[in-house]
Amino acid sequence: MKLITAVIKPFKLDDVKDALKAIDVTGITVSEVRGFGRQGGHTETYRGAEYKIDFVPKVSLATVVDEARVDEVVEAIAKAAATGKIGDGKIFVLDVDRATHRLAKKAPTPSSFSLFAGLLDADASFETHPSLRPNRPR
Amino acid sequence: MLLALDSGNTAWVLISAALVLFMTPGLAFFYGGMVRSKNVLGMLMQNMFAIGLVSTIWAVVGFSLVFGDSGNGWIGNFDFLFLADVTNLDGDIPGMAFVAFQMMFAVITPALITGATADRLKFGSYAVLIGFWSLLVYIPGAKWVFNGWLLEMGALDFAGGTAIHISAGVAALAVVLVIGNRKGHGDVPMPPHNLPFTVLGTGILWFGWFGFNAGSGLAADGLAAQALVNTHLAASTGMLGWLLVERWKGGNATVLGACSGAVAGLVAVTPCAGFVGGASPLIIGFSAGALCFLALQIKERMNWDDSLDVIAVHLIGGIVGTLLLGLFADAAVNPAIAEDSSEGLFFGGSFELLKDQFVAALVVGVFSFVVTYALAKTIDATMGLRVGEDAEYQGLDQSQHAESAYTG
Repeated sequence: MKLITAVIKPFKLDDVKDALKAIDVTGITVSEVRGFGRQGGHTETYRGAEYKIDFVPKVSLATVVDEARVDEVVEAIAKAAATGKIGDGKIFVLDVDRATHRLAKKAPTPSSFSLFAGLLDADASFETHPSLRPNRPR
Repeated sequence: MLLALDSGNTAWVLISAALVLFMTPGLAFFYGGMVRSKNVLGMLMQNMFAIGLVSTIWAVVGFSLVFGDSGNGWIGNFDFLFLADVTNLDGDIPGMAFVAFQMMFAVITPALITGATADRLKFGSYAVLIGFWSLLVYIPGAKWVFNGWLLEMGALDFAGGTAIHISAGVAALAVVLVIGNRKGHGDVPMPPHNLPFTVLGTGILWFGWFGFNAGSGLAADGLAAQALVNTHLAASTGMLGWLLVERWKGGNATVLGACSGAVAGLVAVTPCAGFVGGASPLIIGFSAGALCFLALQIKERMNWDDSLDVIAVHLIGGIVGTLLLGLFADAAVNPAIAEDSSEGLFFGGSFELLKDQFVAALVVGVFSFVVTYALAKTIDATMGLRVGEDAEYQGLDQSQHAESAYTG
């Protein structure tokens, strides 16, 4: 299981989402973030006083996929998010040791675990939170 | 002898009182949009609170001290304490309509100061400050200008360029000198948190200013119409003047600039509104827009944290209008100029009026500075005028009012 995090330009979010849907990624989590990199910020002027705004708005998206499909997903994101200009963003791939699925009453499948995980086999090493396990002792 | 009441004049003055009242919430939003989000309630509150406190002071003693017929040009008397006997006032409008109209001027004047002292006044101390400021600075100044020795000398001020804008603008500087700059001023960016509020406030101010200026003749007549058009035109060219200089200085034409320029034009036309005509309001407004933009430099050079530019807009705008009236006052627009004063330099007059205007601006300015500085120092030494460092960092909304503007 791998966590793929991509920081992209905000206006590319829809393109990336469509590209991931096209390869059957079933869920992503999106956050609006700010940061700085080589792209640099911009200046704003209020009554003649200039303010340097260093932090650039970006979108961060995350999805969890099976290791076998990491390259495919990373490539889809990179292709869809690219503008060829500075500031297109970064993609990180991290190991996921464990994922707990609190809402499902059975081990998740890709279709049932749509909030966060993108592309997982039904037998991936997810566990279900004890409180949700069927037949738990009362 | 009492004149018969004129219903048209009465109606217009009552409406004008309501228009001028609306300017104070307008000012609250004009300023509120320019502060950081953690201080927006503090700013709105300082302005709204001025309505409550100053109206009360006005009813108890303020009106009487300005308009009570004491026989001297310096201060009124106590004839109208608690608004007793105001029905005996001269004129073809009820005395109470005049009380209401003048009350709204007294309310907005100390509220103008809040723009300079944004984000760092202790609320209780602010209340004491504006209460005493109304009594010790506004009331004497209003007496001299509207009903006293400066008027008799020949100085003209149609709706309050000196007693309101110069007086409040100078007071703003005096208080800033006492409390010092905001923490992080010059290092940390403090951009406006909600310019749409500022645009909204500008619209309300502009609208209310029709009552402020066109109501000041206390009659629904041709002069009121002239004053209203003058007011509107000066706001319009004030906007153009500010934006052109802003562009010329290498910047963009900004939304805040358009709003600031319009307000600068409104400030400058305030003393002139019922005394000028023709192209004069266009020139007065344009000059104010351009000069007030250039005056933004003053606080930079002096390192005064006049946070929302009360000096550049109200003090400089007030001075521009007061002095330009010495050039543009036109007896053809208002015959009272020839009777009680002298005509402007460009309209058949001499330097006489310009000199009187200069004296009025100087006297009101110096008086306001001295008294306000002493008052602010006294409050600072006794109850403390400025919030602590923690409270300033936290913001006035939470530290002074235990509220947040934006939640959820």
